[in-house]
Amino acid sequence: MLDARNHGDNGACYIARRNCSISPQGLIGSFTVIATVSLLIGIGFASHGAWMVLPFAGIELVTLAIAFVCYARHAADYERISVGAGEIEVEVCNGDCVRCHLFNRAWVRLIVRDAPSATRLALRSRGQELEIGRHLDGADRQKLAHELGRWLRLTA
Amino acid sequence: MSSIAHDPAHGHGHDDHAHHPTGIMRWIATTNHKDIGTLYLWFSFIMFLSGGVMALTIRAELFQPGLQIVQPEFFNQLTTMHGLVMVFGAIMPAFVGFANWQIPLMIGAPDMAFARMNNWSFWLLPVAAILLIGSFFAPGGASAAGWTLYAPLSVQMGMGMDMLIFAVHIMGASSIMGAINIVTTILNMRAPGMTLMKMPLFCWTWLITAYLLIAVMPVLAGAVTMLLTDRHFGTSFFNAAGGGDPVLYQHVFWFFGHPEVYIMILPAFGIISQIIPTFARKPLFGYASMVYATASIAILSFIVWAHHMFTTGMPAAGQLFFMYATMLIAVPTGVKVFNWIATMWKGSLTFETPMLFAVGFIFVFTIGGFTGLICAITPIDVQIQDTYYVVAHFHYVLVAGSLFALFAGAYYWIPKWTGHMYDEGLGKLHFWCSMVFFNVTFFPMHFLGLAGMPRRIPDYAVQFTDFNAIASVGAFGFGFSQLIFLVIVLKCIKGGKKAAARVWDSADGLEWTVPSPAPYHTFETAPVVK
Amino acid sequence: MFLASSAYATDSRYNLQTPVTQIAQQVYDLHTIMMVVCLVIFVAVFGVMFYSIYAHRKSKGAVAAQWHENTTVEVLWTIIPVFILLGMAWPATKTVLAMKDTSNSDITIKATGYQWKWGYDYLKGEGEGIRLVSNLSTPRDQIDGGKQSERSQSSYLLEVDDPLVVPVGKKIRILTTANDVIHAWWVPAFAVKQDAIPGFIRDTWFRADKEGIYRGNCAELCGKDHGFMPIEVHVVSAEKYATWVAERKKVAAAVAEDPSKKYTLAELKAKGQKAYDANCVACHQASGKGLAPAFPALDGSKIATGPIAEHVGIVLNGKAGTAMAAWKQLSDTEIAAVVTFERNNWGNAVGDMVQPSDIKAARGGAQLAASPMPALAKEAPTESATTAASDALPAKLYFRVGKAALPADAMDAVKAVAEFLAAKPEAKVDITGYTDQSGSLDKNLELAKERAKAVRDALAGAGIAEDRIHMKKPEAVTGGGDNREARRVEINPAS
Repeated sequence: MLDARNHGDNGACYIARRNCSISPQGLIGSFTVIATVSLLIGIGFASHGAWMVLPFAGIELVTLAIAFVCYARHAADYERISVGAGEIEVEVCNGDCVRCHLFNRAWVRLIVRDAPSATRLALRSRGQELEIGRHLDGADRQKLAHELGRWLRLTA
Repeated sequence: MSSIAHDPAHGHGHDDHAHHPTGIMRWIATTNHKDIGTLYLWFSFIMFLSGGVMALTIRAELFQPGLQIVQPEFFNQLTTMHGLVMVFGAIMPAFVGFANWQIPLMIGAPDMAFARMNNWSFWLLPVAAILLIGSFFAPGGASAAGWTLYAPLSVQMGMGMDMLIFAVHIMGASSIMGAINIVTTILNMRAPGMTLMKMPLFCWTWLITAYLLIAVMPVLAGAVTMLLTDRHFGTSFFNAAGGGDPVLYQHVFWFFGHPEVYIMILPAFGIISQIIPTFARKPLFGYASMVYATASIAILSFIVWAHHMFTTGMPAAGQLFFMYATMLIAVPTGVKVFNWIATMWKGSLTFETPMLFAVGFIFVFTIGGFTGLICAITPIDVQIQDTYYVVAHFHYVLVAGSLFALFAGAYYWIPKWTGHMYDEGLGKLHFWCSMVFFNVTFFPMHFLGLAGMPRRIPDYAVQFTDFNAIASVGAFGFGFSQLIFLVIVLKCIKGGKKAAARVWDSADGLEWTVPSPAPYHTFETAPVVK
Repeated sequence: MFLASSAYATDSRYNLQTPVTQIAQQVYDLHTIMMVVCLVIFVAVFGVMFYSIYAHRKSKGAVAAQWHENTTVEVLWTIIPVFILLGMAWPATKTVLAMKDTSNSDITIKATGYQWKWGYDYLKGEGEGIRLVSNLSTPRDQIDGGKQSERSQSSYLLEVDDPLVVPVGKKIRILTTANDVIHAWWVPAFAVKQDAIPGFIRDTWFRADKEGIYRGNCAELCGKDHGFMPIEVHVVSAEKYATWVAERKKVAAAVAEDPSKKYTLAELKAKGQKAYDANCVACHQASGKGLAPAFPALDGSKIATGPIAEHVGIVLNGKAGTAMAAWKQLSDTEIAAVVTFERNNWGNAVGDMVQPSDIKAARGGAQLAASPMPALAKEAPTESATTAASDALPAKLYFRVGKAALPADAMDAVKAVAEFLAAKPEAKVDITGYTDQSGSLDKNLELAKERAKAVRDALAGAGIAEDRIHMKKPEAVTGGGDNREARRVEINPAS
């Protein structure tokens, strides 16, 4: 998903988010439902003497929780590309790590690679390269490339 | 100097699509959902044939009264292993295979959520299968306690029983990992715009099935672990002499076992719900009510387990509760059947093989549904419990239900998988042979059960001879008919008419937007669903 | 194939057997109603489907409509089935309640499932005290590869040597239990099927309206010969039943064995052969070679050629965790005979023997009973892994995990000890409580004490003066890995 915000003529901000079809609340909710059901079943059997169901239910819920967390860690990943007067700032959030990359607007180049399956984008400056738009689908990547290209041409 | 560089050559260097290993390592190390789906499907077909050989041995012994081919102890091993191999080796992995192939394609995801775990959950299965089949060669042979493994009979068994318990644990772990993968994939990775209520029904039924698996697999694991400790570590969960209760085992087992039945049929409902609209050229009737019906069946499956235990001597109140709850399942199941027929009504029907199997499914599965309703009536169930009537009933829902739906699905999607059309003539032959021989095999079993022939017996009273002979002939016919399917699949892999992207002219869904055969990687950037 | 003559001339081969009880008639009618309702729905629903298949084909130029929902229709086909189901549930409920009403029976019979035969004890009503065992009477060689023509009689696999006999028109209550694994007692013509569960008693009933011979099978998988343990019930007139009871009593009195009688080796071997053929042959085989590995060979086995006390012990008490069940239900003479037979048949030639009186002693507890055979003096019932059902000291009572309440199944042992103490006014007993090793030591000692107290209270309740009961120090950790064995209270003669 691409959010674009224009700040007049000299800047803009683009936020590219991952496609994530369930909200964090939704995921927690669905885990709660399954955990409640599993634990109720386990406790029910334990109260009738068959306590060995409970540990297996526990192991399984832990596995499910780990799986959900592993996945959800990257659910909120985003790239924020702020185009300022003299520079371009790219904030990349990957899991729980947020990094900022600063490029001089005058020196940076946008690289567009046309692979058969999809177009990939990167910013390059002074030998440094940063891939951008990883979370976007084809149409949005085209749009981002077009927009960034416009800003860079304005500088040039 | 332009600030935008087009760099196509470099782009190919980054294209890692071609870098998968070849040969056997490709299959062992693969994390690709399509490869893993294929592995699941071949594995389940091999297990289907192994279980089938056991079934044919059983039917050969039962061709006439007297003991001719196998001895009673081995006969019991065969019935036990036939059940376990078919349930855990054939039907369940086959549906997981379909899930692996189709769910990412249908929701527009690049792969399953946990590709590495997906690989593990498949490769656990052959290990379990070797343990299971290998138990025939253990001292004392395989377990002969029936697929339900009732204590205390299962406590008496030899080493084969321990191998079986470990096999069940491994298969359980595999199912759990598969289910977690499917739930995570469906919840998180749907393409933008594909809300839950726009999801293809096959994905819906699998989502609910995966939830059922997660809820009940620990129960099975607990049940067999308690058997193991009762056998070797001096516990008395199910041993009356030590203060335990043999009936407790049945409660635990069937609390798993009944939802398990729906685990094996709900994805079948999903497949049928994809196929009928395609060949009726008309949208599925009552999509929302289909979803609600599936969910109701799943919820009801938790409160009907004791209908397998009407003869254990539970109080009248218990019998009545479980009878009413069981009868209630007829309502959502009925809704599904009505919806399918309403979808066909005023459609523009054609009958290619997938449609033949789907219509055959509705027809024959409904017979199994009605006998299920008859079995739900406690007083009648007391008469027919543990007779061939029950054998007929659950083969009508599992063979004509799950298996026919699997065939329907295989014919429906195999052009997408291989890129070639299957041989339509052979497909139709396969359908008609299966349909006819299935009924020849299992329909007479209703009469046997009503007249009083118990199940799981290697020899029977002479008045049951005729129907048993007919059933045995039918079983061999049915068994050999499945070789037609093998031929069709092999032919289809090797070549045939090129399949278009949209294989069936009115097929709806994202899987038909990618070329046939589906490329190794699909939907790396998500499609947008309107 | 259809021409083969039906053995059950009166029974339809396509339907339930002809009912001979009111319940069976209700079940039959219920099934008929259900079939009719289901058939009507089936024809209606599939009539629609097949019409659609016929009329709405693309090849006939049908053009697909595009509607895909209709709330009215959907609600209707949800509600209408509910009402149909209610209509079905009503008569079914009445039958369930009738089936479960086992009160006011005329005769009560306990049916015990063994691997693989049925034992019957007439507990109450006319014929009280009669015991009989029904073994399959179809000859084994007819089953194994016999000619098809030999199997043509209608009772093939459904016939027994000693059938159950009940009077017509009387309410018969059947209590079911089992000795080893779960069996199920089933006679289709009565619509009676009740699981027989080891360690538990369940009940069912029937009132047969018509004299005749009715046959059924064990209906729960119970091991190798599950298919070979039929049930045969003779329903006879009241007069015939009275005659049968009288004859049974007379025969029983005539063959009543003198428990102290001493037999010769030859006599015991002859009796042993009979007992072996009736009880042991299915597993250990006529050759004594068994069916390895589940059913070990007796010919040359360590048990059958080792100390006789161990041999007797295993026959009496079975072997936990294996298919070898306890055979306590056999008479002393039968056990003495079968043990002697096994030790002196096939390649076995130990040359020793055991008398019925020794078995009696072995059952009761060897320390208290004088044994004339030196080999038996060592027979130690403390090794027994079964519940404390023996009728004297020392006794072991097993408790549930973490519980100090005396389980119901231990009351027999308490009663037996109380009777013993009542008979010997000078005798005193020691009571020691034990627990298994799980949990904290302090808690376990407390639990062991509570368990011992529960036994003391039970004995006091049975009328034993408290000064005859000596409470020993409780012990927490015993029994090695066998936790069930560990959770017990022992009653020993006072030291």
